[in-house]
Amino acid sequence: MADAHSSSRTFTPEFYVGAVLVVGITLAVITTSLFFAGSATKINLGLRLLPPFTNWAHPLGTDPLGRDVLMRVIYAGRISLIVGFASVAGAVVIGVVFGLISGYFRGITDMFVMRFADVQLALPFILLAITFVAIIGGSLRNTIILLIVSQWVQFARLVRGAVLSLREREFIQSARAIGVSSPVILFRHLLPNLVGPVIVLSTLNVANNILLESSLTFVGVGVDLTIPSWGGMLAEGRTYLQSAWWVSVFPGIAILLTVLGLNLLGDWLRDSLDPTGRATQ
Amino acid sequence: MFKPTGLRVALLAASVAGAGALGTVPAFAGGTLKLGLSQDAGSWDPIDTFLVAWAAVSTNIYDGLTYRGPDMQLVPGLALSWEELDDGKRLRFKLRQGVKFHNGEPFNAEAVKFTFERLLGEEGAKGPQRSNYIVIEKVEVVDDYTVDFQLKAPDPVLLTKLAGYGAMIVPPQYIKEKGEDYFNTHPVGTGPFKFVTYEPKVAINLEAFAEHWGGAPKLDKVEYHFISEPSTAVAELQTGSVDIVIPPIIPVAMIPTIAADAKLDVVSIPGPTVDALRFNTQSGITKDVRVRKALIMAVDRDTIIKSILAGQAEPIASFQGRLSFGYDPDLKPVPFDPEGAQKLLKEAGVASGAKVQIDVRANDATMGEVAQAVAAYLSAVGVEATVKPYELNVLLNDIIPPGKTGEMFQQKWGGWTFDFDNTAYSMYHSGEKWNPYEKDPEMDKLLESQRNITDRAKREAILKEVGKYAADHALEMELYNSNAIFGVNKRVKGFDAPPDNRLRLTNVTVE
Amino acid sequence: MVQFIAKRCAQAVFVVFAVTLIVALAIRMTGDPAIMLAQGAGSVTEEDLARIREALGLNRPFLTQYFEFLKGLVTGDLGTSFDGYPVSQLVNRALPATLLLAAVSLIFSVVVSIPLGIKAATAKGRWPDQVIRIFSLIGLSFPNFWLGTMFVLAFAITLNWLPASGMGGPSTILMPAATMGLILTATNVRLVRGAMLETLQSQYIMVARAKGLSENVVLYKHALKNCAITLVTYFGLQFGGLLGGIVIIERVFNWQGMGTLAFDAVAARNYPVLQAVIAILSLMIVLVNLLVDIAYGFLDPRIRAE
Repeated sequence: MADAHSSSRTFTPEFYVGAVLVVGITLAVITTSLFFAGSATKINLGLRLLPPFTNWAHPLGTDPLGRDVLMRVIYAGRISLIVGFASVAGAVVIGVVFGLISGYFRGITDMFVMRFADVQLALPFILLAITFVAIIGGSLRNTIILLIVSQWVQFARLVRGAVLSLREREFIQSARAIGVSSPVILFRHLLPNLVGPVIVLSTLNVANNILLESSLTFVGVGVDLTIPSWGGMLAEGRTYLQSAWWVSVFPGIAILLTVLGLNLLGDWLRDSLDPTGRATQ
Repeated sequence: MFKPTGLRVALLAASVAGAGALGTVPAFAGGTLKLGLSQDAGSWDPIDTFLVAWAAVSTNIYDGLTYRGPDMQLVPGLALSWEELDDGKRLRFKLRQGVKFHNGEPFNAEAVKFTFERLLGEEGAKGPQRSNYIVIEKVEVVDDYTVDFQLKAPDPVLLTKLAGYGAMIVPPQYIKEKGEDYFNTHPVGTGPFKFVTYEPKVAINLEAFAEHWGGAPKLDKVEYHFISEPSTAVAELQTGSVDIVIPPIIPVAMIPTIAADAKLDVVSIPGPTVDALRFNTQSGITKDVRVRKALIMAVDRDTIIKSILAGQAEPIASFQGRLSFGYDPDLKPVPFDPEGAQKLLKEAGVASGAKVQIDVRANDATMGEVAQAVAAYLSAVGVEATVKPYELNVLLNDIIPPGKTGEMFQQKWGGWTFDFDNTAYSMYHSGEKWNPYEKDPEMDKLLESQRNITDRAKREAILKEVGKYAADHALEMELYNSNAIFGVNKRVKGFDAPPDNRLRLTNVTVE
Repeated sequence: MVQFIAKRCAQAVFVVFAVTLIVALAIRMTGDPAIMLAQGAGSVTEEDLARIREALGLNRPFLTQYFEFLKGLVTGDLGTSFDGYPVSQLVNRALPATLLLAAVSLIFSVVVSIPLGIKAATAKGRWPDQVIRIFSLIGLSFPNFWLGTMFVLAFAITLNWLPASGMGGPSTILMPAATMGLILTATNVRLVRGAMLETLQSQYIMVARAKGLSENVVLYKHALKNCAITLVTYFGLQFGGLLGGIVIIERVFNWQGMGTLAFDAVAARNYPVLQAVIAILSLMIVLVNLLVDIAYGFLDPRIRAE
């Protein structure tokens, strides 16, 4: 334990590589979205499928509609990052609230949350997604909603478990004994203790959701095709894989780097907060 | 009989000259042909389905009274000849003798009667095929090898319809003994190949029926493998696991991949499939015919065809391809004219930045690209277009028929009869499922007037007029008539690609 | 204990009931099974469609249809697919295919991840640990369909070593199982490493080492045995996710399992097939979770009391 503890709060190479990747990609995506969105979406049928590294105006080549692959890859990151972060943010809010309530008050809410969690866990996510997207249609908003619905349970279970063990601890027991109100106990005393594990799980889920978004697009139920996203570019590009590999290889690399960065950060956080990694399971 | 194809003629000539001349490629080599098919039809009963995937298999299992091969000529099938009686209200067929079903049952007038009574009766009512044949009032047996079709009204397209789908002749005894459910998955017909095994979602296997009236097929076995993912189908073709990939799997995007492979050929021919972006003529800026015309002028469809479709399509001026009966070569597509479009828009009082929404099928990758290109062209004349993909079933059920589309929506159509009536009536006649917006008595009259005429020239003139009327009213932005694209291994010989996907493999050989 | 198991079983029944009800309701909200059967039908009319719907039994009230399905589920008769094939026969072919792929992927990943995870744990902080962790992170960063497509490109098309897709001899399962297995391995290596790190610090291992047992015996016999329960639990929890991933992989490799059935059933609005597939998959996930719970219950009486 001593060994693990000494490495916490230190910045390891993992941290630096992860941080550089995530911050760098985020900055590039924001800049491009704000200032260069036009050049990522401009169609030019005369310049279709230019190979990469042959034309300085299009260093990574062009796609089947003659759009610049470099700008498009960066711009597409916007959707992947929005999906990744927004879905996790939503899941965290809902999951933490229900987890707190159900762990602290138990009773009917707990029963409801746990049964809902069971139902949720019994449905393979992709099947749920293809069924519902067929019905409600694929869009950025619907993709995010689906991911929230499928993941808040993870956070609720995590928080509930932590609350169950925390509420028996002395500082909570004594707070209750001196008549501190429930909301105060929940938000002042319990919540701060949960921040660590929730952040760790969040980082890993952002990475996971970026992958899920691309899988959804692969099976044709993702964000609609007019909005560039990494998953969409991969899915569109797979029929061109043998004739124009750059159309889908570069977005693939972008996903790889982003998810890798997030996972590195998540790992580093996990190690610094909890060396055995139990909190996130 | 079949019209001999070029290769068949060559082979026949060679065999007359002495088969040895062909060296290691004997004309009757046998062997197994494997085909990749995008979909499992589920039931192989002719009355149950309208899927092209059904026809790609079943054309080999069944025969119709008439036959239409890749050359599109209607020739005798199980009927040797036919004549029109009572001003076209009665058709008399002389049947081929000595034909047997795969189970040994004889083919005769009773089988024909049974087939059509089943199609038009209770069993047929459960499926989609019946409505195409309701013009048949009843089938009467004259003698063992003569039948009469009593029609409610003359039907100019009926003889063509008898060559495919619901009109395939089925064995009465077999169905009565084994039952309808068994027949769905154990089909029996008179065709050149007989059914062997069927594994749902995996494959259906056939073998040669040596006693076929048209001569024994040259292949021993035919296997159809169901593969829905385009890149997987092409990979199977490249690795030699399938010899032919049947449309519509191969997307235009993968043609270069196949063309680059020395073992493979791309065989593409004009098919029945046409694509258009139809207009919502009741709401939005597309209510105004000038706006619709302007939007059509604003889009350079020739460039779209040359680039995105890699030339695998032809521009169209009405909602039909060149092979369709009713096609008018004198009607030309609206030329690309962005300045003219802007002028028209201004005249119609459409401000820059006006919005249109284009609804497309989510699973149609090519249309996805085309729609985005169309949107780009529209934005060049100041109309902001968004593209909204819908799941196919939702689009066909919840969006188009109730009239909930955006200003424009994708319509894909392809009648295997290659008769413009099939398309035009559904698209333009009031109250039809695929015509949620237009109610035009003049168009209705035009459409109705050609339905019961058997005079081909007269009918053709009216159908051309329908096409022109639709173009004048700018009811849709015609896009293209796309080719059917087959991927074929070079070891396959004698394959004559049919435009309508109803491929018959009698003359095919493999090396 | 009996009470605990009975309670969990009752909950499992409720879950399957709720899941099928949700899916049965949802799938009926849009689309029309008849329209897919009539796809391409020239002038298909509302009348034609109504007749087809009637033949499919869709004009009956929803509850009648749903209870018939539930009854069938209990008696083992899953009804007839809308294209005329008995659903139970479809499932009989598809379920073993999916389970086989799941099992081979899981075995692949367990066989690879246990030695790697142990190596990483014993070399904690040194280069073997770093290399294994980096590779496992890269493995976690691939979309599964992307990895699968790359495998096809490399091993089937370029090298021509393996069939590109399909379901046949042992060679056909290699690529799909390796794709799933590698992604699972990325997770499992981390789990094994974590569990081993904890076990290696326990008294029990110190004693074993003090007794002078060889390092391999200590690691693979004593330590592994000690954390086996934890690992089995983890692997059990992965089952749902594993099935989800297989749905995608089935599509890439044209592996005709439950995912393929479900995909086609959604597109065609083939209610009997979709309901049956969802019911069976959720039943299996619930059962696996139940077994995990019961194992837990034996280990930790506090949970039983809950």
